[in-house]
Amino acid sequence: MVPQTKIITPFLKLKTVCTDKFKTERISVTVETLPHIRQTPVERFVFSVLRRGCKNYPTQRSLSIRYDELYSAMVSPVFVAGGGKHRFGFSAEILSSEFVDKNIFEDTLELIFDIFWNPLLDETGKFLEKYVESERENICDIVRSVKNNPRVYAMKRFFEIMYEGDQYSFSTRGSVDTVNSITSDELIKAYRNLVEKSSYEIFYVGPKSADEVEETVVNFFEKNDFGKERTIASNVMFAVDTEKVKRIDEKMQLSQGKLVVGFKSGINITCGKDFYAMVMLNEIYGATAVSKLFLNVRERLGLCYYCTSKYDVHKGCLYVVCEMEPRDRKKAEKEIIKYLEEIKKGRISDGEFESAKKSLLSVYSETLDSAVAIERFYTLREEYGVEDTVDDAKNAINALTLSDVLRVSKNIKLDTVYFLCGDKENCGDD
Amino acid sequence: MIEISDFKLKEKYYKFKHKSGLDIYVFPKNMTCSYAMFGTEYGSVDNCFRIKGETEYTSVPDGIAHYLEHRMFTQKDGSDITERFSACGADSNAYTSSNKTVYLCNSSDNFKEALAALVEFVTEPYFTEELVEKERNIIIQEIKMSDDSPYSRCYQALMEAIYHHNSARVDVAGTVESVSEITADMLNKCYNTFYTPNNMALVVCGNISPEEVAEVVEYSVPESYVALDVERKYCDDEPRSVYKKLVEAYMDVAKPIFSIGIKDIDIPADNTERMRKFTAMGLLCELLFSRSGELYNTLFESGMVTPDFGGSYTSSKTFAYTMVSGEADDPKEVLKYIKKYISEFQFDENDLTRCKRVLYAEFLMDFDSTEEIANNMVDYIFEGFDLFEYAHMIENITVDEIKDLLTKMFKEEYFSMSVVYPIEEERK
Repeated sequence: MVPQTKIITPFLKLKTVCTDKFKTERISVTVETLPHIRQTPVERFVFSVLRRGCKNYPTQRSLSIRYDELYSAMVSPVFVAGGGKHRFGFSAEILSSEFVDKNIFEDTLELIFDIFWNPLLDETGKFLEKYVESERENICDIVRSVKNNPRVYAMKRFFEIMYEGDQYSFSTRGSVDTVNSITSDELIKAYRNLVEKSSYEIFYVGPKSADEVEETVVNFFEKNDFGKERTIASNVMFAVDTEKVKRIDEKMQLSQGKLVVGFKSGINITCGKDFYAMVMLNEIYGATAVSKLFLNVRERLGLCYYCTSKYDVHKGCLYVVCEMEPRDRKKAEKEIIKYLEEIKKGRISDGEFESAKKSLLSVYSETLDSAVAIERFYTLREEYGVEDTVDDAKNAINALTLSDVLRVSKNIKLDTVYFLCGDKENCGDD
Repeated sequence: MIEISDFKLKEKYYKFKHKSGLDIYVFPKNMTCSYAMFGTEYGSVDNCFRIKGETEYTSVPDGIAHYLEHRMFTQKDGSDITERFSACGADSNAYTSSNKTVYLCNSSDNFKEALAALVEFVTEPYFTEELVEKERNIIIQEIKMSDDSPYSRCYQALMEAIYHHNSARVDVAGTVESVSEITADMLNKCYNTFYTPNNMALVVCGNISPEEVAEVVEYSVPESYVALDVERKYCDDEPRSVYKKLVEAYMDVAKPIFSIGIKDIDIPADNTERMRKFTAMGLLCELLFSRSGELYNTLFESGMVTPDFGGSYTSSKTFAYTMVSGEADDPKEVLKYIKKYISEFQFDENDLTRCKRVLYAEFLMDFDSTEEIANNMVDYIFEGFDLFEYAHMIENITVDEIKDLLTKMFKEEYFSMSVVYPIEEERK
């Protein structure tokens, strides 16, 4: 299931995966834009306002009723934060026509374009003030409520520290001050810029042929005069090396400590074979229940409920998250570092290597069982000009050897250690 | 072997019984990834029981079903079964809820090997005091993780406020104190009581035939796997009204988090009747609390709640409740508004038709995932109900049935609320 790509105009690309595997059809309509410390929160704000209502469905309630009429058409905003490019838009999952009494594909697409292209504006051409102010409050609530989830809060603080000075360190929603400073003029200007001057991508997964989808989509675009001025090249920046490891401890009202340890590798999704070797290294290190971190930090030492590693394919960074008794922090950190060193020394058994390989082959195969996963797989690669298919990814994993993993492991450097713990605790700093 | 099919849904599955008495369900599905779930109808509420022939009931500490689930993965030779799954490229996991414990595996290749490993490890436990001890801190850390989450704390406090005695008020993982009492002998007792073929079900969904599944199970189940009659004891004097009307806590949150519980103890013993009530309540919750409804939109537009406000109905054989949750500056005002709204609520056939469309679509969409199918199958099996019947039941619920529930389900004495306020409000 490889998407068929049609360049309908230089600014409108259609990708279709024709399959009758699912009971649903998925379509997304997105525009691309560059990350920016102020513009990104403005653009996210715009999309929050758009989903409050449009000319044909002026309230959130009328929109929701319309979704219900279209058999729970899940029209949701799309925001994909890439490394060097962002995508904004709307997607919908609908039941295929064989399970409903009418063809709801066109109606759903029309609804998406209504929300996208027919916003509710006041007499001065700006978004309705009541929706702007209500969404401003909602976004501020979301930003403030990050601390409601201590793990998410710890990750946010970790990113701010690890990527200090980089666009990546900023919340894409902005701070409360940023959100409060965004004006109605900025919002409408950003909206016009997005819908009128961006490149569009339509991604469809379902039983319709590329020609059928194209015919419907082109009809909508012909009625409008959008998307004719620019395309964007991704400008991802690798995380910059820092001379000294950053160590920050902070306190919150908690019973556990939340530890995040970050490493930089300089290898991301654009790096071909080395990228897959890093994916493999992460799998062996801490991504599964048979990884070194799980088997040792959790199972052997019993320090925590979980200790897991994640590989950021955009920035090429590896980070480990673990929650434990504050008194065990030093011990956990030592083990986290130790098992990465073990990998660097080549202490990976044949069993570990083969298990990781099989697990990843399974993960890539499973991509084909979900319309969302198919879209994510190809959209991510599209951002970086990587043309790998799911089969290419599996072949690349299959071809990896231990020496590939060892080679990339040499690039990995400890960068940041962040620890969040209870305000009454000794944070393991004895 | 019987075939159960649904023409409208265009799906079918097979059911057959292993000689041990174990019910096996196979749902062929042309997907890359196959899923297997091996579950026992034994969860956190099953804390008091006796085997037929025993005179005394056995009471066990809270959280023991979950502890048992954690400890099942170690094999007699000291290895972890996860390594065997991993060697064939399969992923494995387990979860415990109030009424069941489920072990699962999934893979795109070598699925039969993974299925054999699943059946073997769940039917051949190995507990020692040393292994049980080793697990204790891991579970304590899991409990503490939950303690640090204001959402979990809010929910748990609500359960304790709704119920006087019902085991539903106990957290699935137990408490730091209760898990400290658990021993290998207790785990053995619980395993031998509840991990029996007549109390379990195996569900397989994916690219595999019922014959292939039957063959794997045939060679993977030990002789010792035999049926047993067990009597469970639940609290039978749970009052109709809630234990506490309001519980409040203070944590490091940005805005008050609330959960409103509306207690229901009229739980039909008949499986079909219970399922019908569950379906009707699902529709009523959709009518009352969804984004298409007036309540959500009035509360949201006036700034009284944040967008994640919502409500749903939960039911099992031993407890049931409606829960409405969200974040609000003044949760007590929200509660007042909700009560008034429900007392005056009216709807018509068109509203119900729209809600039926939503529930039907959401149900159908689950058939795109082997994981969701297997999950739903397990849920329905332990509720004693057929998966396919749900779609027909949605169609058949009438306006009068829902109106009847509306008058019965929301009396003042059934309401309870749990709120977690920002810590600053405590300091005021």
